[in-house]
Amino acid sequence: MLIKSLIAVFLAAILTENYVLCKFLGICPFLGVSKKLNTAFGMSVAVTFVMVLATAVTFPIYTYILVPAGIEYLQTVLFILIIAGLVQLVEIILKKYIPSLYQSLGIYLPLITTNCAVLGVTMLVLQKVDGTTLYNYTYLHALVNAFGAGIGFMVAMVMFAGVRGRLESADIPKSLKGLPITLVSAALVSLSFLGFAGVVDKLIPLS
Amino acid sequence: MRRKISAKAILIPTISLFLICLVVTALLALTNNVTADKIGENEQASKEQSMQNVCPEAKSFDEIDKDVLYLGKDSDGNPVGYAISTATQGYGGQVKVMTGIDTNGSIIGVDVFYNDDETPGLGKNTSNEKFRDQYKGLNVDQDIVVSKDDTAGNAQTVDAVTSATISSRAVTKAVNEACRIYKEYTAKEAK
Amino acid sequence: MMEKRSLFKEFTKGIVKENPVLCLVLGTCPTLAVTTSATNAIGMGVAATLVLVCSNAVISALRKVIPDKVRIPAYITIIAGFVTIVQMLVKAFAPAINDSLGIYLPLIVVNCIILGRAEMYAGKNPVLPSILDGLGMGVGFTAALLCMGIIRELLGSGSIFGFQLMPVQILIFILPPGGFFVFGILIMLANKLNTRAGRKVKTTPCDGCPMAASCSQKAEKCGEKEATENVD
Repeated sequence: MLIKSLIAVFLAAILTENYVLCKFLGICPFLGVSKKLNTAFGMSVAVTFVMVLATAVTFPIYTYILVPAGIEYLQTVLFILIIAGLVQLVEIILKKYIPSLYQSLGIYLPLITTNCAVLGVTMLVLQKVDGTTLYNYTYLHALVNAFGAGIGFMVAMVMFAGVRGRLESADIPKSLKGLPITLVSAALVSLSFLGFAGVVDKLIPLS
Repeated sequence: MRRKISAKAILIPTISLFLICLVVTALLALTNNVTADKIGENEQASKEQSMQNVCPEAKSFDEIDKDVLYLGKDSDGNPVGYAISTATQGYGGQVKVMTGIDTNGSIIGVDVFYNDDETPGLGKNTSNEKFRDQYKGLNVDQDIVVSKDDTAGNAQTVDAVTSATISSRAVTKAVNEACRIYKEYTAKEAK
Repeated sequence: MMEKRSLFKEFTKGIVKENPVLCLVLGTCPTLAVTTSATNAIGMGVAATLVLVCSNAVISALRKVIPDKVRIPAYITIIAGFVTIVQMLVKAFAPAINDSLGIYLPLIVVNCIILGRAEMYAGKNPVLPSILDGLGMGVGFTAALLCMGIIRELLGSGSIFGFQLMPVQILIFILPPGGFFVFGILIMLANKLNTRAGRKVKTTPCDGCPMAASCSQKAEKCGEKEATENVD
């Protein structure tokens, strides 16, 4: 049951609850850094990493400090500061100890602080905790959810980078060039994700 | 990075950031103090409204299990039914449902009081009367299923909202959960 | 002392010429997410404007006090504080709007427009122009959201502000793909108008990169390797 629910959470985060294409979180990097496949991939790896890390820190802080103390209203301030701090910390550590990784991921890290997908993941997961009577949504589920959300972000980014690669050589009406055609093609990509509705429920029935 | 870091260069930013955080926190605490009661009232009012919707005969509600199970009583204090609040995962997020069950164990009303994460025009239509009223008169003994999923010739079915099977299933699941809570409670009472 | 005329310009530039959504392409997430109905769009616009004006005012007033090194965390804290205050007020006095905006209300914190204006304008300018700048940007943001909201609600649910107007509904417009599509078309129109007026149009990905404003101090060119060297 635990494994099953973990898989369900993971798949749902990638397919049916895709943060970019279904929830409109993290649109900025989705449009900004998806021009080339390798940058799209690098950005997604960095985002996934920060999402998991941020959830790992914010989840216990919320459940064991904010809720017992009755100061849930500090959530937004605290979470954004934690994320900003974590990003800086990771950046400094990478720079000092793993310079090769810093070379490839470092530049994406500062951009992540203002990425709403990261803040969104840490906040939305808390709503799930008190929302689902289906199964116990634990710390482990939260981490898997964050990881899945990151992978979902990656899937969207990589797919979209492919689409944009094809757009390069396409003959587009002048006024649609640039951002407009990018958005219209994003519409088509997101249309394809609508097709996943219900897939996870059917694949892994939990009740 | 290599230059000597003076204490002042570290202290001043730290202290000013700390002060800003302190002031912000104080302001938040103040606002929270002012608004908390009002927010609580709003939540209470919307919940009472929802309980009233599913159990219209009741004049007052007794809390049995906070935020879950309430006993509705008429003006003479006789029990007329239960209002049970449950939540499940819908398409976009939580779906919260209030289910009214009378003392004989048949459903008298269903109110979808939170489904704002569902798709407008699709899943959100689960709060329409046409969909909700299908639950009326069903009983708690048998699980309710969405007719699309019905393979075993189940007697208790509801038709899903067009193109919103997931949200419809979520509401149904919440109602079934409410029935389970009801049965559990009445069985305990009977002992 | 600034002249009245230029103060007025501070206000109007955000509405048309530098419209944050349609010309600067900032704050795309809420633009796409909450514009399924005109009412939501207004709720979001007003909430963001409120935060924008307040944070611009405070940041500009404190611009000489906040040490440069920690200015970004300081800005974020101030913005997050105002966002939470606005969220509490909305919860208390307009619970319906809080329910329909959901997670996107607290996410105003990471709206690039607000941090972008703090960094680009309020951190360098006096209080009064900053307030007007925030107000103008906010109104521009609201106008763009409202525009999206009306189009999507009309086509998608056949109504405006909840009043049923059309018998036909093209559901896809209130689903995510419709959001991307309408936004694309609106930007196309904005580009067209801008070209006609002889203004520079942002078509290259990095000009259009929505992060450029909020992260300009960190990455000169997004996606390019040599970009960052800022953390000391």
